Amino acid sequence: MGLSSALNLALTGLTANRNELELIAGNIANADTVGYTRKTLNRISVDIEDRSIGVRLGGVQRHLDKSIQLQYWSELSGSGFTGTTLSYMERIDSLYGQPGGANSLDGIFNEFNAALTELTTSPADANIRGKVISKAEILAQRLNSMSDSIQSLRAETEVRIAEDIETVNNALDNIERLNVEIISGSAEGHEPAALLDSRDRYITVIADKMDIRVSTGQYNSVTIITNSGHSLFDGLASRINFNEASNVSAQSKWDADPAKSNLGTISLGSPSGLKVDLIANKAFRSGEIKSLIEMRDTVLVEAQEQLDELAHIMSLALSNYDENGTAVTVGAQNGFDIDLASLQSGNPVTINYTESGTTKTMTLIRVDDTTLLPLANNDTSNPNDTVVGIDFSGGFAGAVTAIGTALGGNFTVSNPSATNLRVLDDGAANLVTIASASASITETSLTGGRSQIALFVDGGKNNAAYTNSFDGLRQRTGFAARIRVSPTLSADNTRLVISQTTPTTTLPGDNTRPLALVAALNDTSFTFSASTGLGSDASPISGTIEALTRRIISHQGSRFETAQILDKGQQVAVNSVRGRFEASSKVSIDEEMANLIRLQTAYSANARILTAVKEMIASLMRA
Amino acid sequence: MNISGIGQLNNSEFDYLKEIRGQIEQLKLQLASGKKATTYGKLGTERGIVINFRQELSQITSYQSSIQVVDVRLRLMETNLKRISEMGIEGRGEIEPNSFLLQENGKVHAQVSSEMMMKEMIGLLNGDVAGRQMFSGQSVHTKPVVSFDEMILGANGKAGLKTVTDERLVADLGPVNTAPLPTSMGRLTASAAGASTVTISRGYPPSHEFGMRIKSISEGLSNATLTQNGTAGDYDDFSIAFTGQPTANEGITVAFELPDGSTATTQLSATANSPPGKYKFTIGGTPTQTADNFRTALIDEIGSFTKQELPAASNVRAATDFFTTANGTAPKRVTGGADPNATSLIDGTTANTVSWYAGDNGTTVSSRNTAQGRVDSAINVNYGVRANEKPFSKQLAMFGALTIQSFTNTDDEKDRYFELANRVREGLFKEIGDPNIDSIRTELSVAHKAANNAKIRHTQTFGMLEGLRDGIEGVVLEEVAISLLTLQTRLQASFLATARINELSLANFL
Repeated sequence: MGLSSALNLALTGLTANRNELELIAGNIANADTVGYTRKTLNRISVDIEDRSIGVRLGGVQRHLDKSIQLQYWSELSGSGFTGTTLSYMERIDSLYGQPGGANSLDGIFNEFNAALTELTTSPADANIRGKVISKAEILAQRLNSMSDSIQSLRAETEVRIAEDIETVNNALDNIERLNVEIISGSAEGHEPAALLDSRDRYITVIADKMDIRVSTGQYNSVTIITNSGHSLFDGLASRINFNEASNVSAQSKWDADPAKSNLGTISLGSPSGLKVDLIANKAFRSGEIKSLIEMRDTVLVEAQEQLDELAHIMSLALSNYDENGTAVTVGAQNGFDIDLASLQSGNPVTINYTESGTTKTMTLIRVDDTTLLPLANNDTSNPNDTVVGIDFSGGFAGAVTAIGTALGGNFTVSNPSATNLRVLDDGAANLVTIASASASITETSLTGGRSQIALFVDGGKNNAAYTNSFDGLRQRTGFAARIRVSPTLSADNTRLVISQTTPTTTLPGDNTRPLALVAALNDTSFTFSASTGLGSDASPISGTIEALTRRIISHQGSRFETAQILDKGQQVAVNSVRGRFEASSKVSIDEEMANLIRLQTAYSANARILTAVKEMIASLMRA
Repeated sequence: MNISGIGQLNNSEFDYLKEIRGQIEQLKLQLASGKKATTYGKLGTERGIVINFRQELSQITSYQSSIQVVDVRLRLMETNLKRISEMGIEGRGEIEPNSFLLQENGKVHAQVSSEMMMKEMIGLLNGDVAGRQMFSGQSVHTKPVVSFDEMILGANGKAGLKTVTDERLVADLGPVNTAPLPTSMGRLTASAAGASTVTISRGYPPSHEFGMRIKSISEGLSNATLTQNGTAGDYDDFSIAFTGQPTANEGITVAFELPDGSTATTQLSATANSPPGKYKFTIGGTPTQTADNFRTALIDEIGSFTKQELPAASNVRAATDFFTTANGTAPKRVTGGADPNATSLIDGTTANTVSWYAGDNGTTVSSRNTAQGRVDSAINVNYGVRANEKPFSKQLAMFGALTIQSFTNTDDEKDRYFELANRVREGLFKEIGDPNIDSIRTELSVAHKAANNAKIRHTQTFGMLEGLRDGIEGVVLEEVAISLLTLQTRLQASFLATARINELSLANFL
């Protein structure tokens, strides 16, 4: 051991101090950098036998708790999900207007209803008739604009999914690139801390979008798979594709069958060439993308369905009348004759009968275009009926034959005159007994002599009456976006009162029609379709139109509330994990400062040794 | 998304400060708007109830506005009907049968007042509320009653009350009988003189509408036989066969039914005097002479009826037929116009006869149901009135019958006035059990009461619901202010603490 070795030791110490100082400067500079973890240097004593001959620097060490980091990523996808859901639910909630505000859906409906009630007292008052029309127009416009908002929210989710997928792909590419460098660096024996930070940042980006599981392998390599088990990254990045739809409307629906789907689907192409539809496989269990898909395909669709149901029920309540069959007996067979001359496409003929003691209902729906056939039982909201679409495009005789086929051999179905349908039971065999036969027919004329009136029409069909048709596209789908007040009616509002012009004209003070309209809106109970998310196919909810409005608003309101509670909980969870994660990885200025003092002291001490050695050598030289 | 701390401030603290700030914003909004939430979602679980309350409040508001409309209408109707009802009473006072003071135009004073009251009544029945006719059934835009002139004189080739009345009078009086006195017989014919049997018969066919009907004969003459043919109470003819001479003061009573249903009775008694004097006939030398005397006296009596009671009754009947149009019926007039031999009545057409009532005259909807006000979810008040309902048409007919006649200053005319005025006066009295103007008023006031009761109920319910709604939707200002203060203090403290902690960095002491 000589002076030179002491000098050498002090020199290596100085170098180490300088390097450490650099690191501290880096730590302080990056104190607020996203994803930066605190770095420290390992000092290794260079020993020969039992003596130290210098200090050498080991690799840079990152300070973080890996298990908390994994938990953080998992909570992050949760908060990505709840946060996105909340932001959408808040926007949906605001569509229904301020409670009691002039633009609230229920307020607008109430005003329309109140105007109609006033009309029953003053049917001859042109101002009140005008008020009814304008309130109806406001209601229709409100439904239109709400539908538009819902569809633009859906279009937005489509765009955001595309952006998110782009972000995820981009992150995966970067991870692939970094992973290669990290492996080669780690294989050389030092931990490439900055690269690891960088890769973690990209993983964090993905974790926000979707739920992933990250596992670390040899030489700090990672594999990323979704919680559902689809590999996103395994040395090579998988590619996620999203065929974004350019146009989103109420008719746009996602379907597992690409031929039927007119919205984008997310598919995963693995490097090995495997292609998986992630939406069909329900691969997203959390994260922003899951929330966007849920919004696009469920929540917003239901919100639209609810408005459509409201528009649908309101239109039909005002426009449809019951054509009841007249009992007829032929020999031993009993049944009904029913006049179907005015049956519109989409109008149902309902036959109630008992078969071997069981009460059954058959709903036969007029269809002029067979695209949507066969119809499903949940195409009507009645849970206990069998629904059959009857093709009327081939004329009445053909339809009668189709009805016969639908009802089966126990019934005799015939066409005694022009547009009369005759349904008879099996007579003496007595297997079936027909209880009633009736049709719900849309009144298309404003002066057809009936109280019913097509006040609302379908703006997408040249303002033709809304008949709930199944031709090609279901007329109900997106009807809320197209509902209008009949332009003929708004041009001549006396028709709100005058229900016939021949042979005599209804007197201006006759309130029969207004009373019937008020009763239809307020006193009639309807069964709501389960596609609205209210009730189920098997036990649907029923009530008045007012009840439907209330349920819709309540439903969306409570959804928002639930989203809010979930998000709050998730934010607490993610914050606490993040707090813990940051506590382990974050730069503490105080600590760095303390280190700085220590380094400064150590540096001066080393320098002092150098000076001492120099003085010692000098005195040696002088001696 | 990732804001990894600001200085030494960690994220949770940062979020906490953000949250307090957010709450303050929320409270500020509540303070400004007075509302707890801007959307239903933020309102909490009671949102369904609030929507329900609002719906009920909106319904109540519409009922209240209906009630208000109904109230205004019913007030006007009551005012008008009260006056119309008073006019009936006034008329009874003004029309004094015994006061026959002719004015220059051949009218008695009572006729002048009845004309004025008729005009007033037309005005009242044509009363409207903001353009809505109140007495027109469902034809709320049509004035229910035509003008006085059109009603009386007719217009555009259509006959008015005057023509219809005159035609009826001709038919009721029948052809003029020349022997023994030039007089009308009220459609009766007497057998020729010079026989011991006197026969009085209805013209052919006996069932015809007009003139006098033979109602009853009671005979107390010795040596005379009464024969009656036809339906009891409406005989086709009757004969008195004098088989011998009656004793003086024995009498015979003959009652005739007049077109308005009233009865004209004459009692003739035998006397030995010649000339016999009023209501008597001389017992002649032979039964045939006695029969002739009896015949003359009877014809004389009938002739006097045709100058007094019959025209009065005919006028009242004609006016009643003209004005009775309720339930879609047409005014009745004589078939064939002014024909003394007319046998039947016919419905006047809209082309040839004035329809004095132009409003809704439907048969399917009852008059009261022609106007309905929805004052509560299950309560409709019915307050429609048609101006041709019987109480109105009867009152108008009575005034009309009197108004259109003219008189000359003779005893017969004085009696004719007496008979007419008496009938009109009687007609203006309420008939027991028949609908009258006051019973319509009662029905309307019941409707009015129902509406007002509903109004009181609505006001109470409205207040209650509004209170409940405000309890859910609204905020208590004091509560908000206190929350705001608390949050402000907490935020200030947090800021202060954060600032102090941040100062405590080693960096500051190097």
